[in-house]
Formats: sequence, C-alpha cells, structure tokens
Amino acid sequence: MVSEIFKGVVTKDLCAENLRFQGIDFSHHRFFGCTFSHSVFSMCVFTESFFRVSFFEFAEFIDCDFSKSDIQFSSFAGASFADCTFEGSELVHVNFNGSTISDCTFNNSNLYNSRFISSRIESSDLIDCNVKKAFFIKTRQERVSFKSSNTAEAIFELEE
Amino acid sequence: MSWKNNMRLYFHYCLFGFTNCFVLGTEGSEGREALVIDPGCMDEKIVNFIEKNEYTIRGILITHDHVNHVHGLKTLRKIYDAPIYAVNHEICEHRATIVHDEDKLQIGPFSVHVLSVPGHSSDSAVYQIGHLLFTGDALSAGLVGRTASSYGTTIQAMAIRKKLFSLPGNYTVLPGHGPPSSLDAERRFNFALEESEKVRNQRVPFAQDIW
Repeated sequence: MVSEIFKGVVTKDLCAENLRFQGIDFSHHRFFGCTFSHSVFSMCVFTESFFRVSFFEFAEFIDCDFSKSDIQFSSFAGASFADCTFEGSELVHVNFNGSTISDCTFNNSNLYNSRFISSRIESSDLIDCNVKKAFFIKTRQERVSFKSSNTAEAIFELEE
Repeated sequence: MSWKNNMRLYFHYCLFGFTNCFVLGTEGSEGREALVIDPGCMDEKIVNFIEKNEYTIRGILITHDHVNHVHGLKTLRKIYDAPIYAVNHEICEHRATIVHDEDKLQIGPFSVHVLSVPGHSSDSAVYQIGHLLFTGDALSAGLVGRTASSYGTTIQAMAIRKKLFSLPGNYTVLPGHGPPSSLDAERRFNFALEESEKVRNQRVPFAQDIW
C-alpha cells in the first residue's frame, strides 16, 4: 500500500534531499517547486506525472518509468539515469547538464530547448523526437540514435 | 508556480527572442505584490496571471537592455505603473531607477541584492532575491552570455566567479534563456567557464587588476 501513497498527489515546495525511494508509484503526481536533489529513485513509476520548476539535481534514477510525463522548466543536472524510459514525454526547457544517461529511451518525446551540456549518453534512443534548440555541447555519445528526430537549431558538438 | 518563503514564481517563455520572463509574487489572501523580471514579451497569459492573483506590481527588474528582454516593457507600463530598475537610466524610452553593483534594494516586500556582471553587455546585472538568482544572459545552464570580444569574455568569467560562485551555499539559477539550474550545478558543469579558465591567466592583466 505504501507504493500507492504518492499516486496522483500534488506536491508543492517540498524539499526532500538525500532520500531513497524504491518501487513508489508517482504516476499522475504533480510536482511544483520541489527539490529532490541527491535522492535515489529505483523502480519508481512517474507515468503521466507533471513537473514544474522542480529540481532533481545529482539524483539517481534506476529502472524508472517517466512515460507520457510532462516535465517543464526543471533541472536534472548531474543526475544519472539507468534503464529509464521517457517515451512520449514533454521534456521542454529541462536541464540535463552533467548527467549520465545509459540504456534509456526518449522516443516520441519533445525535448525542445533542453540542455545536455557535458553529459554522457550511452545505448539510448531518441527516435522520432523533437530536439529543436536542444544543446548537446561536449556531450559524449555512444550508440545513440536520433533517427527521424527534428534536429533543427539543435547544437551538436561532440567531444573528441 | 508556488515557491519557497511564501513566494510564488511564474515562468513564461517568450517566443519573441526565445527569452524567459518571470513574475515573482507574494502569497496570501490579500495585498499581494509582485515583481516582473525581464518582460521580453507581455501577452495575455502573463497579464491573466497577474490579474488572477490580484498582484500589485511593485517593480520591473531589467537584467540588461537587449530588445528580446525588454520588448514587452511598453505594454506592461501601459497596464501597470510600476518603477523600472536597471543599470541603464533609460529603457525603451522609459526612465529607470539606476541600480549599482552591490546595491541592496527594498522593493515592497522584496529584498533585492544587485550584482553587476558585465561582459555580455556593459549593463548586465544579476538580481538575488532570497535563494533565487535572476541571471539574465550573464549565466545560463552550462553557458555564459555571448560577448563581443575576448576581453569581454574574461571580464564576464571573472565577475561570475568572484560575485556569483563565491556566494555561500546553493542558489536557484533562473536565466534569461534555457532551463533553470543551480549554482552548485554551474560550479561543476559550466562548459563555457571551463573553456575561459584555460586562458584565464594568458590575457588581460588589466582586467585581473579590476576584479
């Protein structure tokens, strides 16, 4: 029952740093002005969740599902994502700088104006995405697919 | 967007110039007051937010006098008679209250600390309000403002390090372009500052004397 506590809840101005969340269902949850920096989330569900001006910096996400989430003007700088899915999500004006992203899927997502500066993306798919105005400066990429994505005005400068 | 310390932050993305405009307001049942930061555009959404919350606009803060950050000023001033605060004395033909480096202003309930960070423009200012830093174009997530010369780049980098990065603890960075960040993240991942660091001691000894 614990895993259902957060489902569909609205959270405002919560500062919950350095916490561990395992198997929690945050689906349809609405986060406003929250800070979860340096926290660890494993096997958590964020499907159709909603984030505005929320900070998950230096957090760790393992096997989390962000499908159809709506994340805008938020920061995941320095976070790490492993085996996570962001299928069909709105990830607009989101800060992924310095993040490590491995074995993740962002297919059919809108990443307009988001930044991945100095980040590392491995074995991940960004197929059919909108990455217009997204910045991938000094981003280390290995086995990353941008197939059929709109890369207009996106800036790619791969680290040598 | 509700925010800490009984403040409410509204973020608006202006398609004119692709800039961020912010409204920072107080919470409470009555007598609500607000500041507008960088009115790059002034459209129905922002006005509706101000009206719905019954805000009295106490001031308009300008981070720098570039058209994509002040384009909405004329419209805003037609609706709300609020004083303008900027490094420059005149913005879009409106008289502004001049702010200086290290000024500490009390605008209604808002305590505003002014930090001059020239480089992107000579009039670039950062406004610190509580744990929020409205950085304009001087500092954004992973980047710094474009400058017209290597001298400007060095001056800007030095000002960011000396005045912003030296602030104790963490702050929320709300830039004029792009997503939000934090001072901790910028200290670690700002690509542009890393690059400028490489040539820091190779040029502009005069600038080093200034800062």
